[in-house]
Amino acid sequence: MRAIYYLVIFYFLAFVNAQAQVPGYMGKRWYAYGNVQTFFNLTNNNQWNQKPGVNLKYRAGLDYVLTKGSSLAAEYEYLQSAVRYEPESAASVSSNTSDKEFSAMVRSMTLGLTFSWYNTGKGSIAPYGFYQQVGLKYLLCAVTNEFGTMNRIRPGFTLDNFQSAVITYGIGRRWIYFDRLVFHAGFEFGYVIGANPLGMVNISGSRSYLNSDVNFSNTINRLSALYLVNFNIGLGFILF
Amino acid sequence: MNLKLISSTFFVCIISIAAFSQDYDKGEYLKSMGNIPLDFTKLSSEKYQEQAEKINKNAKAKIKRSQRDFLLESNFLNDEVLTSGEVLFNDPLSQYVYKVANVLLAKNKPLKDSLRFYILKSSAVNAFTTNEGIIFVNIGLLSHLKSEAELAFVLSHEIVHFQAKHSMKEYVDERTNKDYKEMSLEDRVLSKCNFSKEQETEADLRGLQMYLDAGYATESLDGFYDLLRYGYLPFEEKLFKKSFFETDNLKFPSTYDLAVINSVTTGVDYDDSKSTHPNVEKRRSYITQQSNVLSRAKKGKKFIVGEKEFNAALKTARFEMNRLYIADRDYIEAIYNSYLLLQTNPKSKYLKMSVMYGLYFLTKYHNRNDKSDVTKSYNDVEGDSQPLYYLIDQLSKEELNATATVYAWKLKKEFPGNKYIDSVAYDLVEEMVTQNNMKPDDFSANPKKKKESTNKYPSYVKRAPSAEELEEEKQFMKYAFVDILDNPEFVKAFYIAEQKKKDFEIKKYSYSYKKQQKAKQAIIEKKGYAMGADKVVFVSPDFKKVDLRKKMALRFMASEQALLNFNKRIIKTTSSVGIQSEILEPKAFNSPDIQKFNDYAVLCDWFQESHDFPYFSMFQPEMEQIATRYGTKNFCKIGTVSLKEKKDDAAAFILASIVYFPLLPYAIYNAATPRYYTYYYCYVYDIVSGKMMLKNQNLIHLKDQSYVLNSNIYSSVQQMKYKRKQK
Repeated sequence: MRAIYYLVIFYFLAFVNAQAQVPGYMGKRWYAYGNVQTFFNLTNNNQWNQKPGVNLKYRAGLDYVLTKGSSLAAEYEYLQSAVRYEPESAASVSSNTSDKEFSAMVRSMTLGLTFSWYNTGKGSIAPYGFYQQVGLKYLLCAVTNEFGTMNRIRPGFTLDNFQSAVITYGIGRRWIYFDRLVFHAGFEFGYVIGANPLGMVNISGSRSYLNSDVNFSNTINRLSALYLVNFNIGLGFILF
Repeated sequence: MNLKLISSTFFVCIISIAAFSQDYDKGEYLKSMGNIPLDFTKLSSEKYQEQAEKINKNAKAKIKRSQRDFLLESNFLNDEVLTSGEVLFNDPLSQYVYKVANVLLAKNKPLKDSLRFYILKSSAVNAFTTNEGIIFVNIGLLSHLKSEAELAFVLSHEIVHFQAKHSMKEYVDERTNKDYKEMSLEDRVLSKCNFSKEQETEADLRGLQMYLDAGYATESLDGFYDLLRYGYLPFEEKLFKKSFFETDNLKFPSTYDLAVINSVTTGVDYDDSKSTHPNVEKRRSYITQQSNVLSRAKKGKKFIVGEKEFNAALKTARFEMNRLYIADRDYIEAIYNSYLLLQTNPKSKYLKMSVMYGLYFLTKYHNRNDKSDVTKSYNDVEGDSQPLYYLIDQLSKEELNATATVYAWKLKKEFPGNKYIDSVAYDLVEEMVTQNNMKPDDFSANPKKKKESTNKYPSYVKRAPSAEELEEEKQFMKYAFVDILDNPEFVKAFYIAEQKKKDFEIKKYSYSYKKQQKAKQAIIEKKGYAMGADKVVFVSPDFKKVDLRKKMALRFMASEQALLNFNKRIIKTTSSVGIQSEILEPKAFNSPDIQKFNDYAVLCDWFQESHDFPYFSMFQPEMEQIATRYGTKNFCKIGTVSLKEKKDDAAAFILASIVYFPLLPYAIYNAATPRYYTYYYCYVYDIVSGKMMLKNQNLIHLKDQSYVLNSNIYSSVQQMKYKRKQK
């Protein structure tokens, strides 16, 4: 018995990983996936009452395994969130309008590429095992009067459009079931270019101060808060 | 008379004839025969379950648990031995052992039917029994016997161990004895040894009764105890003389003669308190005393089955030892064993080739500065084989290489046209040139001139050689090849080797060659191997599940189930990739698959023998036959070890979760789950050339889940099939 333990220990000590790998899972290099990203709203509050909430984002992607330890994915991501918004014109709001009424809906879409590299030193082989990834995404968002809080502006009217870019870094793990289904979980950290995820322009004390820059900052900062930290969970399907 | 009886009688006759027709010179080695017994093919889990059902249900829970644990360990570990390729059945030696056992058990048919006797291909002088009624007798023990009666006493001793269920009793006693747990480590060892010694004495005593009842002679009992006492020595003591390797022109210096030989010093009165077996001399005197009491009126026989059959079995066992020694890399033992056997079989090609292989491998290891891996110090050797150890110790790399070369070329002349001797002879010349920088000019083509004797004393007076003579003796290498240098083939071999060396050196310093090799290696590292194989044979895939958190760390049942699934994965993957495959594994064999079983056994020997350098194997002829039989040269060793252990960072995460509460779910998960490791390996060899064609090994920090195994197997199989396009 003891000899067997020593044998096992010997195996582990004596050998280093020396394995070249055919890329992909059993030769299949493409897989499609969808996932949900969520986390507590830690910094930039989306609501007027400052209560903590939960962020949610949705993502779909197509991943291609490049080598034993790397893959490249094209991703589409969607999110929506309430955001503080000041109408351009003071006439749009009545004098007794509360903070609550300065809310709009921001809908964002990102398109981008994510490069993942796997911890081959620990035996992970794309697309399963432990990975790290970096992403660069183009972000496009639209702010709408979704809640109808702006007087004289019809509900659903697009108030503004913004563009930016997002850089993400993630760590996680992927599992494969039934030779087809890929389950993955991990954390992702992101930064929206030009944003201060911890900051928010306070407009409550100066109603008369209307500035499109303030709206832009609020929106971008809000989006940045959504990207800051996320728990990432999803399901994929190995195609071919 | 029914047909079954006639056919079985015919089979026994054939076996008996085979016992006398084992011709090692023709490559007829020991092989299993007939149908494969169920012991080899039945799953260990099935054997365990069958036996576990028989455990007394009224026994205490602790005892029942210990018995179940014992049966589990015992069945699985015995099966490891049975499926190791090292066990022979129905071969001439097994048949002979059966005959002796039949004499002992003639009056006890139920006991006879519950026992099976197999031969274990091991050079150790030993026999042992299992709780399931299997008695293994080592070839090493058979080769040391002096009479049939000695074997009879060994068998009767082992049969008593089985009858009295000693192994299970010892196991259960150790686990259920309350006092035992409270003892210090030393007291535990002593207690265990005492228990074991009691059992050995019981086996001796009851075995003696069985032995005497069968009609064997009491005087042979001494031989049995000599066997125990001197089993570590070769089967015979005959002084080794260095002239064995010498020719008319190759004469070793007198300093290579060992002046004083260590005498055999086995202590008679050694302390047996920490030994599992009683002192041999105590056993001898006790049993001699008892035998005098028991057989006062009897006069037994040394041979009942017959002396002729004993001698045939003995010869077979002793010849087979050479193969065992070489597979175990005990080259000096192989040479000495051959030396002893050549005294009575001076023309045996097999024995001479064994000597050649012994010298060949010693040379290979010595040239690579690894001689100590395959030899032991001559100071640790006792008896008449010590001068051989001394001689090998004294020979420098060049001298050993030259000695081996002279021997191989002498054999080449004696047995012309033998391609295996030719291969070794040429390779040894290559070793001389490439490893030792030796050239034909280093040697004289003319014999050493004999000086006229200046001895003033009568010839019977021995005098020490003078300094001048000693200096001259040291030059013995110069004349080593006088007999061979006129052989154009030998000279050609030298020039071929020199050319190879030149080519190699040119390549070694060539920038483009280095670059090419580097690129080749980089491609292998990046894209993997490209064997271009159509078929691969997987030899005994292995799967071990180990849970280091458990007392019984090796998870037997889970390992067996995992292995069955692993085999299915291999077949499924190879067929999906489009490569033919076959699995050679005893548990997967059917009863008539004896050819496959024997092939499997030889392959196990071959894998055991494998070295880190190119070489010509003693098993080469059989490898060529196997490659032809299976239609491929590619044979694969594949396996997985899956390990579970306790995480050492669980407490740290719990603490961290107190500071930062969102971590709590992960901390709980982390603490509740073990750490997993999966080690996967896959090696493919070309069994004809001995080259390793593929080497995959992967330490994965993940559980051995289906996708982890599938992807690793797929990757290896894909590399086996893929053929890279030549630019």
